[in-house]
Amino acid sequence: MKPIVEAKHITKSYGKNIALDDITLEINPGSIFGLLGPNGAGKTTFIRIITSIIAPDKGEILINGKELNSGTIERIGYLPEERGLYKKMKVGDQLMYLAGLKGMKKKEAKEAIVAWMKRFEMKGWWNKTVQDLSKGMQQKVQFISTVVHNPDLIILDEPFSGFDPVNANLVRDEIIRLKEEGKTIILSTHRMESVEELCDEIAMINNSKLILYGEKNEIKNRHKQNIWTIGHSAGNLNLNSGEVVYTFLSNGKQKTDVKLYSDQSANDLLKEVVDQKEVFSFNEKLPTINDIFIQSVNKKNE
Amino acid sequence: MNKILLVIRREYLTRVTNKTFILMTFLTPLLIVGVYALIIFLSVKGVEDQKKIIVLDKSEKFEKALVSSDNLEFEFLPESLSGDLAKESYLDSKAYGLLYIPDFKGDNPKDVVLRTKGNPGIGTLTVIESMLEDEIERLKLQKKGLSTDIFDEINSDIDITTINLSEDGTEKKTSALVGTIAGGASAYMIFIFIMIYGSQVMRGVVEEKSGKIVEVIVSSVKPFQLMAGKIIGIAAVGLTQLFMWVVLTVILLVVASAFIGQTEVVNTAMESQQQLDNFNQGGAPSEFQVNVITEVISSLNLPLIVACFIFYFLGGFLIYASLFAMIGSVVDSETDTQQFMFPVILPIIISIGVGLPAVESPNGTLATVFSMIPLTSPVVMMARLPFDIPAWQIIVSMVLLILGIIGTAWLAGRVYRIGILTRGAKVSYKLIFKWMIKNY
Repeated sequence: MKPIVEAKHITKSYGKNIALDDITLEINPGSIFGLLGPNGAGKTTFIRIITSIIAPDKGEILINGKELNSGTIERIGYLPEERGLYKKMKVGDQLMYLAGLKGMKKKEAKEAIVAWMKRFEMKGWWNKTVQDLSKGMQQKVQFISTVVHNPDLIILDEPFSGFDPVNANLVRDEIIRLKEEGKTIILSTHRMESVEELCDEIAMINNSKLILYGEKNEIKNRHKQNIWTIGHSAGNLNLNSGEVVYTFLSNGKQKTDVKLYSDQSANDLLKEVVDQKEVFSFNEKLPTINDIFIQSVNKKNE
Repeated sequence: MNKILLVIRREYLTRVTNKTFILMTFLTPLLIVGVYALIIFLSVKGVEDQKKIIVLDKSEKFEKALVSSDNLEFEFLPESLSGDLAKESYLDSKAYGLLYIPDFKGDNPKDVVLRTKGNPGIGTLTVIESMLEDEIERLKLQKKGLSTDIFDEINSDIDITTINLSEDGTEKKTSALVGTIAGGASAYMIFIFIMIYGSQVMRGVVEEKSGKIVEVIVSSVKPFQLMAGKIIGIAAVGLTQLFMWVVLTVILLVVASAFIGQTEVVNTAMESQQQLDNFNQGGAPSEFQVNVITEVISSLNLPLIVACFIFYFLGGFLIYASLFAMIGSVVDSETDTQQFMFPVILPIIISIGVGLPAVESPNGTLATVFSMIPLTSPVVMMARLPFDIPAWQIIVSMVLLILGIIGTAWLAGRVYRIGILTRGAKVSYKLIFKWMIKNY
């Protein structure tokens, strides 16, 4: 499968500050790509380079195998983290203007906007002025402005901020729906549960460097620490194959996390437990993205 | 290119549909015509409103000199009356003032006093003073043995008509006054439009930056396109307003004069002018004057002035608007703009400082030099323009202005594209300069 975005050795510095240091990655079409990293790591700079708002010092970006030009840019929808709307403009006029800047003809823009407004339950908003809308309502308008021109590549920087849980869910559903339509989505967020739930692949940037990159499940496997979670009847376990790292009793059933010693196998552990207690469940515990994030950032910063 | 048009269209439409804009566009001509009408009204009313002056002339010399007119009526008290009694009778009356002339021996009367209930108008005072002066001069001449006929003869009234002798030998009547008014007015107009619409550009940029919309926009259009679109759109708004003002003022003037009856307005205006002339000079009003003024106006190279006005109006706006856009892009809020305004305002103030004297001596070195420098040329050149300046100077000035616009827009664009995306930075002149020269 040909990648939709290819970043090759992207380097960018502002004076003495290096914002991005030799970033090379590929994003597959039809996937949700999580872009992670602490504040100031260089995520926004990377996104701005993809959207050709700024140019890299070195390296190149290919979209669908082509260099960036005004045609490719019209196929990108970008929701920046620092976002806003013209406060005194009407919702409809504003969306028509933004769609026009993306190269849409008047008629198709109007049809698309009407369809999106219907989907987001925004009927009758056309003539409302933006400053009269609540923050959540403004975010809906903003989201529509990002996707109205039916882009192939959608870049969302912290898309959930400013939404209440109901509307955040609406946006989440839209992201999944857009993916099912075959769109590619780059999701930059600090909400790790969203990454866990939505992303197929992730890249983590810290201090301008790419420190983690790959398929989400593969990364999780790579970071697993050989910990097994056992559900069993009440009472503490007495083990030789591993070390108990966590145990918790609830309703007469106990859950225990065991870190296996390197020379032991899961079978050894299971045998030991079966001898002592009744076993209800036995799973390998995979690290969460949140764990991996914190672990990776701390390790690199040391 | 298509996208610049979209930006221009938005900037233009949001502004011309703004209520304040519509209000200003329609109110200003009303105000102009209103002031004009008020002046006529007052001059008409001034005729009706005759002021009565009670005179106590102890010297008994001015009874013939102080002649009542439509504006002033003089009533003489008996000379024997004491000053205090005169004051009393004045206070009891509805008269405007009490003029007291003491008896005097020598050539000049001392302690002539005009008592009024309020502050006397300077016009009234001048008229009375000149009447008294004329009479004293007449008396002095009489003393030296000259007849009053000779006095009337030597009391002359001169209007100088200046004639511009151009190199090909043709003569044109010009009037320094008309040139001064035309030059000064158009220079001021350009100055005011640069200030008003330049700061609109700046506010627009700040609004986009602080409203955080700018990053959304520049993911679709290039920063320079956005800046250029904004500047051109606002320039179009300025031209629209100017055009509407001219058209509406003309329409209103026509309507107003038709409503009042044009001839009447003109007649009363001319009548009152004549009366003033009569007052001051005792001479006949000159139809000649009116003719000269129309002739002089037509002698101004009007097509050239209008064409140059539009050129310098736009040119001046474009060069300053780029600078204003640059300031707007580097700050986070409108209050922060103050610290960067001075270097931009300074050349405008210099051009007004040079431009105003330029209408006095349009071919002075200072005026000539500043009418070439791009940042000052729009105002200074417009001030010089009515005075037939050499064509090469106009051409050089225009070429330099165009180059100046390109250079300024280019530099401003470099700062702008970084500035709009930089938030919360402590911006200094040093940093702005760095953004100008370095490739980020």
